[in-house]
Amino acid sequence: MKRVVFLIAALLVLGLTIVPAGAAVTTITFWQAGGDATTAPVMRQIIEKFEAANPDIKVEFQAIPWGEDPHTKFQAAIVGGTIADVFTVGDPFQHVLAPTGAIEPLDKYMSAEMRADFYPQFLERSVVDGQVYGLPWYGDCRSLLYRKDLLAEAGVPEPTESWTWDEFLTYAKKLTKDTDGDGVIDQYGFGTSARYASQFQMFVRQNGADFVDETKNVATATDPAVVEAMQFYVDLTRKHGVTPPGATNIDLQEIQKMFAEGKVAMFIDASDTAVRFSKEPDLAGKLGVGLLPHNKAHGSYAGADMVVMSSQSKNKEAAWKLLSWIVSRDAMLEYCKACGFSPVLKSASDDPYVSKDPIRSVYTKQMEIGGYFYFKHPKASSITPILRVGIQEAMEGTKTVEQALKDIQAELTELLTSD
Amino acid sequence: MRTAASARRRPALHRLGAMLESYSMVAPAYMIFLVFIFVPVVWAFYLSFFKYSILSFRAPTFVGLGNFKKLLSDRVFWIAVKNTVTYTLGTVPVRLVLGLLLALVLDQEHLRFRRIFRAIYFLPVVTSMVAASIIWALVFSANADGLANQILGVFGISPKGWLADSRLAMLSVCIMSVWKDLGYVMTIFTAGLQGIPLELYESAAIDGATPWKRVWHITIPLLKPTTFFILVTQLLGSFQVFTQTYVMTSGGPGYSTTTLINLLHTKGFIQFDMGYASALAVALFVSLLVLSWILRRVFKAEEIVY
Repeated sequence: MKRVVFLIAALLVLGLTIVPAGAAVTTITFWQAGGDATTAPVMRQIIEKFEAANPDIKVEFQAIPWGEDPHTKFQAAIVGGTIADVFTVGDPFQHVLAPTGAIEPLDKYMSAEMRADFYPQFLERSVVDGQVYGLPWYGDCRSLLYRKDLLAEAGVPEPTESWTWDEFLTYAKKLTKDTDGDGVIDQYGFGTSARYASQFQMFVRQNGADFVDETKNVATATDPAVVEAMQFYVDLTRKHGVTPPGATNIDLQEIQKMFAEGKVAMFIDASDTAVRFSKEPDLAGKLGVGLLPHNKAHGSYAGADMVVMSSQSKNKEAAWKLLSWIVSRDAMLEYCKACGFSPVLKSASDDPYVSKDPIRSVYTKQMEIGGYFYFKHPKASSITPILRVGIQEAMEGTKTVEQALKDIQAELTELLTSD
Repeated sequence: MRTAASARRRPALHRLGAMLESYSMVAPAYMIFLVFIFVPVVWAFYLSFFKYSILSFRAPTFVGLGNFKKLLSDRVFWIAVKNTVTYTLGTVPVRLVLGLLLALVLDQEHLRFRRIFRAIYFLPVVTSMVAASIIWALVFSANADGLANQILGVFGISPKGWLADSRLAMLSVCIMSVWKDLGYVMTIFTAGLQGIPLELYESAAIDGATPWKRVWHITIPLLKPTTFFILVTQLLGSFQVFTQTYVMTSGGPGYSTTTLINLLHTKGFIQFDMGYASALAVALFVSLLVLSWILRRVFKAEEIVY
């Protein structure tokens, strides 16, 4: 008998905890792709402020680091029907999800002012068939990181405006030298690695061309402007020797390390690296950030993360409140300041973080004059290895640049025409 | 004839209970095997006859042997086959010879600190492959101050590109992989050595056999079952090499270190062509099955009798 009483009491206690106090609280889930130990606490603060402002909504937040392959997890969750109400994705994954109907078009929720406040090139990045499927909440592009001390030593002027390719090459040669007189080069002008397609694609874009014409869905790798750009890129290593050993395939981290050690004078990287270096005591006063060189055009590989809403969500109204909160000016600035990225709202441009910060202002300018995104094509991830392998072969000299690009052209054509 | 066991036959219900009990004990292991290994393997076989992109959320379409035809005419597939075979030839025999030598040396009872040496050689085996690959990528830095280049420098050889040089990238991966698994091979050989009866050595010594002859005529022949085990596991393992090349080189430069599993990973999880990736997995499975069968035939030719 005692036991029965105890059981009933236990059940009652359990029952009480389950019944919500306010009854009208809506719980929604939010997953962030690429959240990690640095960014998750910032995101959590933003969510806490949201919950304080919206006491009727409770958010269950989960950050999934890039290393854990969040996009694949999202796909599985979509198929399984357990996807979060709101989640963030890395560009161009919104283009993969939108045609499947997995994410909600957002036009009907957006006010005209809200729409007008986004920098158009970022907002357009999420437009599929005329509808907005995700809102950008931070963006980034690549600029030139350089060592002020090494440039001064070699008598090279700092890039206050974008250099031409000729200037860039002349300076890179000046910055490549044997500093201790043992007959071995130990300082290199320009660090790069053909392991990353973006590193050489930027030169193609700076020549006003690209490997693929997406509007016509054809490969354009043998276009003379592409050949010229790739010859310029490959010559940096093969003819002029201004790149450190291993430019064919080294890890970007190794270039960053050489830069920090003063063995590389210039390299191309995103703003989070620039911000990280600017806080490094050993590099105090030595880090410079400038615009990328150009030839016929400007070209800087850009990226953005997008916040999207699941079309499976049962609480779309609450989900939209959270989504619009995350991309609002204050939350966006808070997140960008903590993580070193650029806000994508015009109304954020008067914040000192954007207008006064010497690093940020260069990246903003760079984005305006030459920011471009990677291919939107559904087969974009198959294009990358074709480009990488071909250019690496040209870098090693197993093929001429023309031959490598002919082979790339053939492979891309086959890829784009196959179903 | 009534046996002793049937005389003490338990009531049917009791037997059922005992049976359930036993099955429930093995069930967890079998369930895990079923859910995480057996079903996916069967599913991969099934998928290899379909065109299926996990991105499209659409049902797979049947293409018959289409994926296999595509596979056989895929230039990159044959490069990956060549690279995987090169890797196998560059690691398995080396590990086998060095592992046996180490096991023999460290089996000498008069050797001091041999347990410590064994532990040192075994350490890489318990190290995570990803962590080891990151460290070895630094060792094989193309920079003059990378460890591998420093060692070359001692002999007056100019620095090499290692992982950034398509002629040396696979060699670098092989060196790292031999280091990583050598301790395992050594340990299995050591266990094998302990199974050889000491009397054989004693009588051989009395008959005047030199130590070298004892190794050649007693140790190596009697280690045959151990060698077979190591050879099979090492071959299967080396055909599935992935982590090292993924972390250290991303399969490059060019396709120089793209192995079969690298290609499978790219096809299945980067380009989301699951049918094609499954066909590749099936091709690998069948080749390994044939290879193991041949090895079994070769090694089974004569039974060992002590």
